Amino acid sequence: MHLGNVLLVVMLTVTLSAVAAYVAAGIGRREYIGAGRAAYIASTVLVSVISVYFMALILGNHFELEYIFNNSSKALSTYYKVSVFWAGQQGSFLFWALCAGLLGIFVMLKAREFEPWLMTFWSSMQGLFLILLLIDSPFKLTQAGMEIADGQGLRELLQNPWMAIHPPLVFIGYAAMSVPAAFAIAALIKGQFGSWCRTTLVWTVFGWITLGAGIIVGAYWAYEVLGWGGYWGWDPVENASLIPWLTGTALLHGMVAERYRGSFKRANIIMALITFLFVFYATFLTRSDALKDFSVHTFGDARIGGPLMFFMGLFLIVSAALSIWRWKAVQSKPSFTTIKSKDFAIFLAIITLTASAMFVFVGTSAPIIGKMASHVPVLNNIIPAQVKVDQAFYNRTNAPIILIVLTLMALAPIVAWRRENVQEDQQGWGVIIAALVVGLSILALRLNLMVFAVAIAIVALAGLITNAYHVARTCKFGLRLIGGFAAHVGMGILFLGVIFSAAGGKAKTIALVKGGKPVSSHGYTFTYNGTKDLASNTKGMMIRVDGNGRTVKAMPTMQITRDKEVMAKPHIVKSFGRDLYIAPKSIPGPEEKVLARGDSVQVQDFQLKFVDFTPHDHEHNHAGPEEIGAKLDAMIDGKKVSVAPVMEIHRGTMTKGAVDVPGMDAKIGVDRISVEERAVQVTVFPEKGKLQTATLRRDQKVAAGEYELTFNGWRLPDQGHAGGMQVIVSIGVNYRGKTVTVEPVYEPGQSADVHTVSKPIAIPGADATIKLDAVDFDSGRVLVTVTSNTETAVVDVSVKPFISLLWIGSILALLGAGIAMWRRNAESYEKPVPNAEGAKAKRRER
Amino acid sequence: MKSYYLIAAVAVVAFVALGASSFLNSMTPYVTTFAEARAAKQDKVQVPGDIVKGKTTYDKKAAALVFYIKDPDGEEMKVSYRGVRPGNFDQADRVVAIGRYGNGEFKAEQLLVKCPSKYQAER
Repeated sequence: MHLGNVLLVVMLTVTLSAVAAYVAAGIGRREYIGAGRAAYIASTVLVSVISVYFMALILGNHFELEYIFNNSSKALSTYYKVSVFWAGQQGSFLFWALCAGLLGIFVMLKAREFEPWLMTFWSSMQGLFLILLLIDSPFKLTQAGMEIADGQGLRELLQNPWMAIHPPLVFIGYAAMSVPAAFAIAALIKGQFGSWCRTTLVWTVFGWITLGAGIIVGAYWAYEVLGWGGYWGWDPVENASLIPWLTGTALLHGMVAERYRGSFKRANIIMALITFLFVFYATFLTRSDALKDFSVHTFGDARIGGPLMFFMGLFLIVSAALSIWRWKAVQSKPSFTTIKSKDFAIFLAIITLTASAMFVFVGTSAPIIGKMASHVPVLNNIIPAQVKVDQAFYNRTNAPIILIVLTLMALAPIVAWRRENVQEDQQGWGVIIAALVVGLSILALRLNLMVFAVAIAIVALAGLITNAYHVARTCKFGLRLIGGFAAHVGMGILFLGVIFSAAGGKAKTIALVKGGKPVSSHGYTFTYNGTKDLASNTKGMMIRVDGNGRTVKAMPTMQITRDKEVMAKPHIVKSFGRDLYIAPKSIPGPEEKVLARGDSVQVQDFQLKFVDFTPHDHEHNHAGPEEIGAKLDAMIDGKKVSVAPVMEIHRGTMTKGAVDVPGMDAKIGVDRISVEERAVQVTVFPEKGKLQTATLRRDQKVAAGEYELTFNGWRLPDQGHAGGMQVIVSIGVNYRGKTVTVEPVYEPGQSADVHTVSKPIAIPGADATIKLDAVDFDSGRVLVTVTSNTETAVVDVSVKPFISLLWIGSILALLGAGIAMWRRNAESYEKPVPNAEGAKAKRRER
Repeated sequence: MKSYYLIAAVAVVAFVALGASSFLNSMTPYVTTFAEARAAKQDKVQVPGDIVKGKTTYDKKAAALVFYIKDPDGEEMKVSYRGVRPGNFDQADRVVAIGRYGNGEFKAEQLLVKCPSKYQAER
């Protein structure tokens, strides 16, 4: 067993003893808390040691490990080698366990009375990771004992700075988003709901920042690298991280309300548990093979699905049972008493954000829903067994949600926290709001989403203004008070970017001809200047773009990846006001095709069929180059055109191992020998005149030009030769009446200096040429290259107005949340005096 | 107080209705045989098939790709797709066509080219 696996087993034992000790402490044996703590710290030290060891193996090119062989190579730069750690499934689980392990130490130190049950939960989660790591280990060896020189390298798509930092952000986010659930479970068991929120809020904000940053970095990477024109495609992998982020956002707001008012206690516990469940559900969807038929991505491993499902099921049952048991014991203040209050706005925000998460959840799980529905009598007539939803589902369902959430966000700084003892009759408002929600839902189904886009842009702008005004007014009382509102400003800017960039419309496909007329599109003029080889597997299109008052040299690239995929990297001409997005679709260049006799393939814009080899001379015995030809038929615009490219085979000017023929102004060399036929093929190189090739059989005289040749026999050299095998051939040469015997040396595979010349010939009617590059008589196949006379590059062009706002807004939102985290961290150390705090908060807010 | 829970209930019901309706409208069944693809009631289905070699034609000027795919029953079906041929179409053996059947051919709106890529190597 590999040392890494031994360490994993040791760590599993230590982690399980932490679980045991903490359970003992939880059921009243407080003396075990020290043991639990020691075991947990030991397990975290172990996961750190395992991680350092794994990293050392990656940096040390230990390709005997399957994971490192599959994801790394010697040539990879150190920076990307570090990212190999989390580039694949097994490594990313180890990284997650490392993040959760280290985070757990901080959680443990602040858990106070919740520690026993909280750490029981946390250690159990670590145990799950270890089981997953042992089922599918990063330390698994390739074929036992094999020495492997080099790995397969990191997938080219992942060789990008953004993609190198995206997974760590997401996994830290997942670990942080698990903290509220751990506290909630402990609070439910203990039946104490007074202080968990104060300690936990900072973790929720931290998780919101890291997971949010991970999502936006992933989106930016997709935009920069994938070349399909967008930043978000509602792919299961993207959705998986968005779902817990949405519920996490709802939780965040509920917790802020709980801090001020002591309200939303039940909702927060439920949201914390749901967020955790979604974190693992996301992992289940993307890492097991549950969705393997439904995405262009192909996913991991069937074997880890079982343990993950078991863990989720157990968590669901335990947390549901605990929630029901303690439901009445949670002493929550009423969430709101009037509609015109922040409390009610937060109430609506929680409902709508959760609804959004559920929509994404249902859409992503459609294949699983279909499978389950096929067993239900009525549903199986409505929902097909194998089904998925298209992007329209996500856009349609989320349009009213975004409108409502942004409206609430715009109102957030305007409406005050609920005043005590005010019992207004606001049923009228209630009816209006309910009608609005129903109305928007119906509109989303019936109306063109353009209407929603305009409304969303207006509300986003309103939210940006009200929150920015509040920030400006409040910041003089202390920077730490503005965090949430600054984040709101960022979200307003972000959604303006979302709507504006979509207004750029669909991509237009344009074909650019080298030397042809420039093409105009989207207010720019494109001139194509040919391709450039950037690497053996990468070609760039040199495109000059004029427009918007400047000239840019664009170079979108296409790369054949190690997995034989085409990676089309766009060129984005960026500016604040608009991005010009040029995505390569097809790159001009010679097309190489291998054709078997009778095969036909699509080449350029016609069909090409290999009919047969043209008649040729197998026993070539005369001067001049040999010729091999092939007959091919091209179907061009419904007409058949025949072409017959040929390949010339030239014997070189000199053959290795050739010797002088004394007194005859010539050299002679052996090209080939055939042991079965007892024959040799030799070439005579006269100092003047054409070289002559002849096949000689034993004791036959053969003429080669003016030379008469006799093959006397062959022998091996007396002493062993250091290189390959050598044969000495004895040949009698008669020239102008004189006879000498010479002994040229033949080395298999070395002697014949043969090269081929393939001349391209025009294909009538196709504006292209074809040449024959190689033939294989045995299997009846040819390799031909077709080159178009006009180099045509095809690109998709689109503009994204103000997409920069999306990135600027997200940075601002994350910075705002950073300020909020600073504040909530400071508060998490405060002594719990809820009433005083509430009063203080009220003064601050007004 | 109770009336506000009514708002919540109304909102939840509205969202459930929105979700269910959108789901039924935008679901794309995944069928495995062409007989199922022809019989499908939905606007769009997705159907996988092996590309029949040597019968693919592409008209560059009209950006029209026509090819044939074969289902597990061995039936061949003509697929037409308007747009630039996907970059890795030439290398692909298998394709998932998303669209609908009509007038003797499958009109694909989208092609998913199944490549030998994996999140990780094949076991």
